[in-house]
Amino acid sequence: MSRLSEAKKHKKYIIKSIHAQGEKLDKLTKLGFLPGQAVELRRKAPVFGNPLLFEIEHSQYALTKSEAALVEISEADLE
Amino acid sequence: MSLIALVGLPNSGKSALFNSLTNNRQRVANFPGITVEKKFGNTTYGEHSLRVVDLPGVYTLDAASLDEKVTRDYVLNKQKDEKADVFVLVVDSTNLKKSLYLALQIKELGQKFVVALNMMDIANKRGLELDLDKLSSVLGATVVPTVAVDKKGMNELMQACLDEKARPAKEFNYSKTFESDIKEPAYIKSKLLEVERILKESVKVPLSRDNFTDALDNILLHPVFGLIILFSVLLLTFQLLFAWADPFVGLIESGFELLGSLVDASLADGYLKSLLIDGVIAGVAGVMVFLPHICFLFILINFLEDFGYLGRAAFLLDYVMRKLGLPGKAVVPLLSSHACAIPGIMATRIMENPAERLVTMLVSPLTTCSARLPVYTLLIAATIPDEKVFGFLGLPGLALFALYAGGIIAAFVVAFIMKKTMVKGAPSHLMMELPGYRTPRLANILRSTWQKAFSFVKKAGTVIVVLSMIIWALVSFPNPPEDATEPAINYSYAARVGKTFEPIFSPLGFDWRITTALVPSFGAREVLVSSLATVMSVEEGEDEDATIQSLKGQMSQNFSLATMVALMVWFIFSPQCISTFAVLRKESNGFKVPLLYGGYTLILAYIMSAIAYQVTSLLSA
Repeated sequence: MSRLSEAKKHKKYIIKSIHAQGEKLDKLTKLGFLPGQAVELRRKAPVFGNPLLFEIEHSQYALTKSEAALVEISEADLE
Repeated sequence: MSLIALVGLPNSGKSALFNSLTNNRQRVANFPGITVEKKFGNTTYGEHSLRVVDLPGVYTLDAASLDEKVTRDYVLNKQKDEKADVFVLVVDSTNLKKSLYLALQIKELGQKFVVALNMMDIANKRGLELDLDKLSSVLGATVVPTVAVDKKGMNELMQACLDEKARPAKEFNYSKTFESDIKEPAYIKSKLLEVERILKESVKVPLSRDNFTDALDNILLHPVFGLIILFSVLLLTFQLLFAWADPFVGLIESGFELLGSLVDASLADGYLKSLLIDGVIAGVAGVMVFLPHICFLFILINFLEDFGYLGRAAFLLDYVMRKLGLPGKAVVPLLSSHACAIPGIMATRIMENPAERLVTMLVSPLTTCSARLPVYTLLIAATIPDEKVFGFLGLPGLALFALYAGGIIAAFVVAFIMKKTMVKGAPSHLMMELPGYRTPRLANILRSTWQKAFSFVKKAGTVIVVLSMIIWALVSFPNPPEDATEPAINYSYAARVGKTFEPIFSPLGFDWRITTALVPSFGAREVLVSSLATVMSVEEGEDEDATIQSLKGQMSQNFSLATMVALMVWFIFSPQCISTFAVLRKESNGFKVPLLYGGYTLILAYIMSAIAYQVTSLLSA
């Protein structure tokens, strides 16, 4: 079971599910982190490698690692 | 009059569209009972007059925050006193998919609405081709391409709204379970599928990646260059506020001094003259001197925000800042507050989360503003010997460094405690969209800066003038007796206040002369120097330096080291100037925040100064 926080750069993943509740789930969903959605890790912040910058539908979203860890993913090619 | 309500996702260009529709003539009020800002403005189209309301940005009608509930209630016709004739759904054309969900909800409710496909210029550049007729028919709403920042498509949009209003009413399809229904996974799934279907039907050529943003991010988010550029930008902010705004402040000050001397020459001595010069003119000058700082800072902030850099700066700084207890974006207000807390507090507007914004607002004034520099300089000169340690570090410089560091550390510690105790709802994480870079429009930057400056003068200015007149009255009344031997201030209400508070402040080592001199220092921090000189009847020297030299001598003779150290500590923590209070009231739309600020800083300053006094007394005994 892999998580979005472990995603490799420039590789497409599919979101399987979101392991969060309440406010965090709400915010992630509203940003577009939804099951079935394709997502790609684009960048990491310098020095600490945190937060992370993801791309969904050509839009960019920043998440801290701990929040990215709530998103379960699978590699897109395996679909 | 037709009422048009703007709804849309955050970052969809809703505010820009609002400004374009209303020709920037906007008014701001609060939604009834809550502190969510309601922006509205009137405009005309042909012979029709329209009122436009800008609703807070939402992703869906499944509202979580206070802001989102305002928008939800509006769309659900729950606003008692007003009901929109037509809604305009503002859509970021470069991210159509996300807005369609909201569109489907509005459609489902049976509200009349028009879709503004905003930022169409960028979407076109990136190759997007849409079947507008198809999109319009599946959404059941007219679709109008717009470029709000360039005022393109505004007439078409207003025409579409009027046409929509003239159509027969749809059935308002609201059930009591609507708000819980839309949380159901089955509902969400079906809507998402519908979104996919609409996209498939109406998108002829999909959007390509934003290569420009990507290329620029390669530099601006680069591990080395990105950080160099970030620190250059922060340095520029500092430079702007410290060095470049100063000549303008000087210009304003000398302008008002000139005005004062004109009044001085044309009026007979007396209360009226004193009121005009030391009360009214000084008060108005006290408001105007903030304008260069506010304008310079907001031109820069607006530029960075429009360009898309602010979010990147937050991205780069967030990890380190969050370790210290505040989000990345707090760097701008905290840094600005080192010049002056007024623009600093106003700059907290760039922070989206209300809890984080509140905390940053409350702690920003702890950082050392430039008005405290003259106070520190005097106190250091009077207490710290001009010696060097380790052969090169000057003691006075070290002391000043300690005072600055004290302010910054205090800001972070207080922020940490506040987040643990009274201010709930500040997230411990970052989740945000980084919009693509856009070319900033100079007119928009200047307009927005002007609005900030104007609202400061209007809303905070009056409070500042009134408060500075109160301080003037405290210092000027009553008249000294005929046979007065001491300076006039020693017979004033200020001195009575000072003497009344003397026993309370004795654990801090402050006698009535200090507490009296503190009264006018609430007008502006640097005034402490001149008010101390007045209270202690220091003879005016040939120039300012000479006066300060003799004041320094007087202070070392009259006050113990412990007292002066306590006074320095007092200035780190104490409630700052009345303008700080005025701007806190303006920015928070109420008295709660300034009272909270005054309360905590007073207690904190008292405790810290008392500790400083007692410890120094023990050590120097």
